[in-house]
Amino acid sequence: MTPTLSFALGAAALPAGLLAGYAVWTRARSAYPMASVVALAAAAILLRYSVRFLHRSGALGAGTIGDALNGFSLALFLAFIVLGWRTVRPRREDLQRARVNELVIFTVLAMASAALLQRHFWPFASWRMTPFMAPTRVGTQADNAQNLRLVGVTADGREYRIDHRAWEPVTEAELIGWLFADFPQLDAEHQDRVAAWMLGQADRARAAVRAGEAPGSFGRVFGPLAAPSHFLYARLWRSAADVPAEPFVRIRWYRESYDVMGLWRGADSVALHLEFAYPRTP
Amino acid sequence: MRPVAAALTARWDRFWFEPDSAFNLASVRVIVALHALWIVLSRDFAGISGLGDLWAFVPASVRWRYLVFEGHGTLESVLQWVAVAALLGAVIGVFPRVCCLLAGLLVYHLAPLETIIWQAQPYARGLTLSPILLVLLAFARSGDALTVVPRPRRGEAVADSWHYGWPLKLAFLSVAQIYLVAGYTKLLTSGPAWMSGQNIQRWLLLYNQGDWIAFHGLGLWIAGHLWLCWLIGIGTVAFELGFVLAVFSRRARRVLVPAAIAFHIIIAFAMNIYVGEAWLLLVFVNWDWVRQRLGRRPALPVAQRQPGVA
Repeated sequence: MTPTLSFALGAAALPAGLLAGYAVWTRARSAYPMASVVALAAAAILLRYSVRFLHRSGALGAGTIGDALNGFSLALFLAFIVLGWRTVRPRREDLQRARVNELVIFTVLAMASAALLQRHFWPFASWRMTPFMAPTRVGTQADNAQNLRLVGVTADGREYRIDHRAWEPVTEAELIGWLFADFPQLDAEHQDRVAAWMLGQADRARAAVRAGEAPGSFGRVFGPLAAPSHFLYARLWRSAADVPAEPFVRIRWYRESYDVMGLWRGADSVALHLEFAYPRTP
Repeated sequence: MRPVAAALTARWDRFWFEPDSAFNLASVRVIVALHALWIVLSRDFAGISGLGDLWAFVPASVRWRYLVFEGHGTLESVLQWVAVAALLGAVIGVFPRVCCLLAGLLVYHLAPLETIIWQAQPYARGLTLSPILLVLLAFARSGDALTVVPRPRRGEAVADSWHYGWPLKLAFLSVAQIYLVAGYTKLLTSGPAWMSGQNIQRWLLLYNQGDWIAFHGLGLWIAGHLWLCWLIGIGTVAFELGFVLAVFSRRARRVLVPAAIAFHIIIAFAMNIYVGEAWLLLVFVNWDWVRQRLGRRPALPVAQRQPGVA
């Protein structure tokens, strides 16, 4: 199935489902109000498990489901706008209330779907906030916790941990997520282009701090009162003394590896495994 | 079955169509727009559009979903400033409902740029509820108070009405579901073991180890007291599942909203995690009551507190 078709089918599924649900609801609610709610819920559950079955049997790939979900999520937000618009139009109060009811029910169902299906239909989100058991190790993907240490290297070979603001407009959490997820899949030339950009960003931030300015662009309006990112990072570069006078000539990133409890008790230390260096040859 | 259905319908109507004040709804408009404005001005969405090399694996369906494409830095920059102007209009009250709609659509377009390079869902970055609430405030009567243009008629009091009640309740529910779902997913994913002291201890250590994080003291201190970790584990899930009561009960609101603010402050200092949407807890404050306490507006007589007299 092509991405465009998956996207279109996902987008069409919502209005089709809404129309079908509305038809069932209007016909059944006067006679069997509770039964119609149960029937709609059962249909949603049936759909969810059908998709899971098709995915597991290999008939639907992850990309196809992702494309369809993107279409579905867009349709969900557009439907929210349309239903909101409908609440404004009627002059009769009973009709206004009926339209408000439609919007409220739709919004509650959209939020509940994201929560119950554990799928993000952003801006209707599933709000999974650290729901897993805490990992015992930091290291590889199998440990469920990974971290990279990004350092700039000067001509004399000394390494400096890079301040998180250097990567702005990208936050460090998003950049590290991307370096784990996508970077290894790029060809060598593409990897070098990205690494050269990172080296440039790190050195520009270093030069800014040396000149007494703040690194990064997020603080351009509110300075230190700018909205923080999801993870609260330390400001490693606060003054010119925190950065080298000489430019960075190389960038490296290491994968950190340690036992969480062991490190706390002093029985383990952070092991660093070189993941990438640019330029590749010094 | 019918009496049950009728009773449920009556309860539903009583809840959703309870009258509230125009000032309270307008205050929510100001809070939501101000919060979004702060975040939009603290990010560089246009800059991300210019980083084409990082967009290598962004699926076409994600690009079309949000209408975001790499290499359009200038256009995104213009849109970001239009969003700023619209949000300012919503805050100050210059055609506030039109501004809310425009801002809601633009935030829906811009916010995903923060994470687009590796994931399509920018949730918990601060702007997740903003498109929903801004669109909601555009279609509700959020412009009947705290407006500059069009100018309100002098001396004309706006009576409480159900028109101001339902969008407030929906805003409450949008914020409260964050906690309800967070508690539910913890139990769904990990079961009751999530609440164990050992689990909380490991989470605290994980977010306090390393030189990259901002705060170390509180989290490590708590991690050193296993009984406190147990208390936090059980208390967190109980609080998250119980917060939804704030939607339905004013009395619960007085306890749960300050508790939620304390909860986020502790998480920030102990775990170095900031949930940008937490500021939206301010929508639960009865701003009309605050204004009355400050002596700016006498309470309306009960006769005027009737639905449909807006």
